[in-house]
Amino acid sequence: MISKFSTVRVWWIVSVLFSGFIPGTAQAQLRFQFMPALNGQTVNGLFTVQVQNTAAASYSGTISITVKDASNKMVLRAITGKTTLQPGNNFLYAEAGRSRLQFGTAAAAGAAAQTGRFPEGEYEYCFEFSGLANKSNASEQVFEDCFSYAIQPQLPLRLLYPDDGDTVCNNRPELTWSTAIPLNNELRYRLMLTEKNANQLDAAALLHNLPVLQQDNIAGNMLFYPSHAPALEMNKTYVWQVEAYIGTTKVNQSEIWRFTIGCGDKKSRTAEDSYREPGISLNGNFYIANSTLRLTVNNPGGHRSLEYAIICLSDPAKAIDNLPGVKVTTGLNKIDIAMEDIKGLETGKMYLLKIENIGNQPQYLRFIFKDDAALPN
Amino acid sequence: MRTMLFICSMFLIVQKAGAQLALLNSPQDTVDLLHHLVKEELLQQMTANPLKNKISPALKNINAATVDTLSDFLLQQLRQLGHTTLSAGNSIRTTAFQETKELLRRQITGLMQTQDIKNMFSQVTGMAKQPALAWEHGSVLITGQVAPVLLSEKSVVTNNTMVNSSWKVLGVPIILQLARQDLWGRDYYSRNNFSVQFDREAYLSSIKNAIRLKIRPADLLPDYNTVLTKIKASALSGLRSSLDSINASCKGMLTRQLQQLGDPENFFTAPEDLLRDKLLSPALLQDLDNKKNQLAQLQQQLNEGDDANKVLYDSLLGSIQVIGSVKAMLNKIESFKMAVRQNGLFEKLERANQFSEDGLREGLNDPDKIKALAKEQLNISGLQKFLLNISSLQLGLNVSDLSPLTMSQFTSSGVSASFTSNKSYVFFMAGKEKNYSSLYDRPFADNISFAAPGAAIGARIGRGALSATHAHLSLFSYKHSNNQYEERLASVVPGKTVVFTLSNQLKMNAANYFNLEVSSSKHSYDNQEHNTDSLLMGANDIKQITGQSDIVQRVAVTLQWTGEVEDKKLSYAVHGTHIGREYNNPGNMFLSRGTNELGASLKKTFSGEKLQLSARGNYRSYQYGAKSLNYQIYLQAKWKFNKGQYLAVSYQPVRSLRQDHHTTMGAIESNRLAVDANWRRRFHKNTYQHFVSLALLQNSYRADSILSANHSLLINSMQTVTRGDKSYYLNLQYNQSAGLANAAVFNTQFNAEAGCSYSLFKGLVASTAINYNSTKNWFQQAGIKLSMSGQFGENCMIGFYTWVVKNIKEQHPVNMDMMRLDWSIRYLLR
Repeated sequence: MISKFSTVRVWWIVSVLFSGFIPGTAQAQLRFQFMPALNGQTVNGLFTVQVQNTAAASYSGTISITVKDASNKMVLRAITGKTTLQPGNNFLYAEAGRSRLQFGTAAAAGAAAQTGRFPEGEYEYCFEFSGLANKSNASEQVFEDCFSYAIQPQLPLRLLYPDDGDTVCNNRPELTWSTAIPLNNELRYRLMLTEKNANQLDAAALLHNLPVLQQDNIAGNMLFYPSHAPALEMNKTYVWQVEAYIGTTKVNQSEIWRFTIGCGDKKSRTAEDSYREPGISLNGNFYIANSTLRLTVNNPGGHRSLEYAIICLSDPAKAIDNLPGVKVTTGLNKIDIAMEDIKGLETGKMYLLKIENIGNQPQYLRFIFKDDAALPN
Repeated sequence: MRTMLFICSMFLIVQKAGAQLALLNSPQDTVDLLHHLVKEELLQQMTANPLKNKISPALKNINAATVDTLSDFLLQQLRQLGHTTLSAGNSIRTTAFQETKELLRRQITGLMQTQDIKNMFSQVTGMAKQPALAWEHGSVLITGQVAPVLLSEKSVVTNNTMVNSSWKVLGVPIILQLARQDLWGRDYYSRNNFSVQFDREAYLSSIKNAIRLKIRPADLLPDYNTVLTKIKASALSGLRSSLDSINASCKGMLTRQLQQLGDPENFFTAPEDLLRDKLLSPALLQDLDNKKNQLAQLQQQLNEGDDANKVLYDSLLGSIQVIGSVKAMLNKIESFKMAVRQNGLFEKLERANQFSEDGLREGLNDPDKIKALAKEQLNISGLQKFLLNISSLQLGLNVSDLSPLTMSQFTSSGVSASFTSNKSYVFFMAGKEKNYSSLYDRPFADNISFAAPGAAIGARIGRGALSATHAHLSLFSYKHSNNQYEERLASVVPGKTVVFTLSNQLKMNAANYFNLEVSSSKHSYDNQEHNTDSLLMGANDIKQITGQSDIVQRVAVTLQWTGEVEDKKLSYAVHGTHIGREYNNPGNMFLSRGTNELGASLKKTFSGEKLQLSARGNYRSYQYGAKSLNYQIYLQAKWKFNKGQYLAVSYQPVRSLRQDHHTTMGAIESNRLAVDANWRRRFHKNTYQHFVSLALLQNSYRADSILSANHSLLINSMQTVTRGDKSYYLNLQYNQSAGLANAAVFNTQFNAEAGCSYSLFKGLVASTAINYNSTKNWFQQAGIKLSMSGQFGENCMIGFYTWVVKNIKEQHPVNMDMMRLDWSIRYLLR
């Protein structure tokens, strides 16, 4: 039985892949067109069958869909309500909601009933119409087409690189995923990559945001970052997903993964930091400066640049020179001094910034330097 | 409550007084100052509240005991200022305020009346003033692109319009969002998504502000910062004088040592050993011993009447005296520090700092603390208390993400809300299921969705918040019907799936937790019936009625343990998953039935966090019929240097295979070996950064006896020179590919891009680049890229990117458009 079934299976697989459908009875006036490779994996898919009525008259009756496993045990039977098949092509989408379902005792029946999917195995799909032609003196007629197919469920599509949650320095990374199993030469992949906003869930990002990159028709399991797409931006997080499809039918999709573009620098906390105002006297306060020292200086006028010094409080003799120039204008100046530009600063140490030329007397700001870049991601 | 309010006012006075107390010479001056400040405060309150004279008679019944307690408390605080005095210049007698208690009591009573009136007034007027609907702010964001499609002459045009507006409905902040998507491709598609959500962040922020206004650290806490600082400065000044005096006695020979001591602040914080080591190193002490011996010998010679080198003698004596003076200095500093510790000044300074504005700001980042403080300190209504318990509330299109076996990345259109109150947690949702990815998928696949859209409803309840230790029960129901959706033809057999889940999380802290979920599902079709035809069905009707399935196969279990050993710089995670063959959970479309998975990850850092080793691995088996296995491993070693520089080596092997009775039916092997390095240097005013990546990829596929393989070598070099507001970059990418030469995106490619980004004028940054790319046997292209982004005024931000390319050589037509255009405009509505 199995060997005979296998022969049929192979023939049907080849036929289905290359011709799209197989009529069951050459002389029949009603032909069922079904693609088990695409639609034979789910209970819902059974109702994608099309019925071609080559007769001049319409037919009224019921359609029975029976799925059996390789040992000829019934997995399920679906019986539609009374339906009319007009001459030409007829779709059974609407019958899915009206059909009665009966599950058999085959091993696959439980999974089909619970998940709506047929487990891996060899199946025979039989579509049978039983009814009358809508013309005088018509007698009961039965048309049947059967199809066979061995279902090989798709293994979950796995993304590989960049890893989920990872931070990568390359702003044009190659995107890699695991080839879908079972292998199929007709399989193509489609990749979508979007930016993920703060407080946004991954699925919402894919749903709402405009893709930075969407590429279909990918034949392999990798996409070199296309030259036409803008480079990904530093410190931004992106989500991506890959779908596999045959023709226009989606057959698999990966999880949604996210990664961040960064080169070892922790995301600057500058935006969260407020500006500090230096004072003419020192009190017990100090603040922690990460990548940027932020301060405000009120320049009454007459100065175009800030004259300042940074003194290491634990080692005042140590020279910290080559300080970046800071331009100031008259009035309140918000100043950002990049710590990275200053040589000799050591993380964790306390420093004193002394402004020499603004105001009548020197102004001070005490801070502890914490180099985020020295910490692991 | 009233006491607390009043304490705020009185501490304000105390603080003002405290700032000047140290400068006063006599107790009477201090008392006068206090009286003045209290009067001034009263005057301000009176001016601010013209209703006082009308309402105050009703509020005269002040609790005498409260006033008495408060008076004592304030006096005690003021007296403590005297105890903290270290130097004679700030003497305040501890008995200075005894005689003022009665006066204080009277002033307190007056202030409490004023405060009560003020509160009542603000409550009444606040409620009356609350508008039913108030506009807060909003934004319009338009993003779009014209992008070429591979092997298609027609580009796809997409546009996203997102309108966000924040409102207050009876004081409750909400966000309205309209998202419209348009797509012009092979056909035209559009979609509008509308959502309303409770703006929890804004609500917490408004509560935070109210708390900040209400609870000024200086009011609530005994903040003597100013006074203490003056006392400290005075004490340090005294110490410095002593040290200078020692130096002077040594004729300035200790000047260098004094400089070495550095800022006087160090006397407070630096460990004694450090100062001692700095000034009296072991070598120096050894030298001192030698000199002592030498001096003793010279002394001996002199005592015996012999001649001795007088210059050497004086030099040795001077050196020994200097070291002796250094010891004296250190002893002075140590005794100073001991005194500071004994009188509690150091602790008081630390405490003052701890309760500074920064401390409060940090504390208010914790939502639980905000809730607790709001309930304790603010006179909030029942509705406001209820809103504090809402974790999320969304109407319209929303995504629910609870846990793997309940709902994960589940998109629906309807309502979802979660509440946390008194350790209880409630989540409920009801809505129309929407599980396709994006509108932008539509031109590419007819059957956009795996599962048919339907209705979902459910709840999750239990003890403990979702992110904390919890024990929750969930019940979700999904109803699928055969409605056509989104103008698509689809066949859906109507049915219902019910998923019941027990979730348990034990969380020690953010890094250490244990998570267990057990779930079971049951699906039934609406028109399902059992068949009595024994020829077809067999005689086992009971099995049909009970669903033909094995209940064990309808169960899923996930287990996760995440831990961190902080002192060993070690973090790890272990997880296991079993999904029964018949388990069906529409709430998580990424669960694959019949899966058994084991996974682990490990990360360890060495050498002061410079070297980081990480490993991750997953082993999966799928019971679909034939046995399918998959495992993937990721190993990485990363050396981190300062300024973001690093060198990383990673290896990622992946294996997948299908076996039927020990026969391998298909196998995939994939390996990725990569070396990444990031180097950065500063030359004068230029910063140079170079990121290099070298990756080797091997892929091989075996289906039955057919083996196919492709290998790739990827070299990526990104160099940037930054000088001021300009940066110049050169990016080179070379991807050598073998095995899939017929695929345009898979063949050997070279991409070079050189460009410059610069500031056009204030707030606007632009970049220009030339680009060359080639794909072996397909084409060679040269193009130009322009981009611009920036801000116009305070409300408008724009972004623009274009890529225009021309084929230099075309060996194989790719039929792609030669242009890409991206735009974004954001306008803030205030």
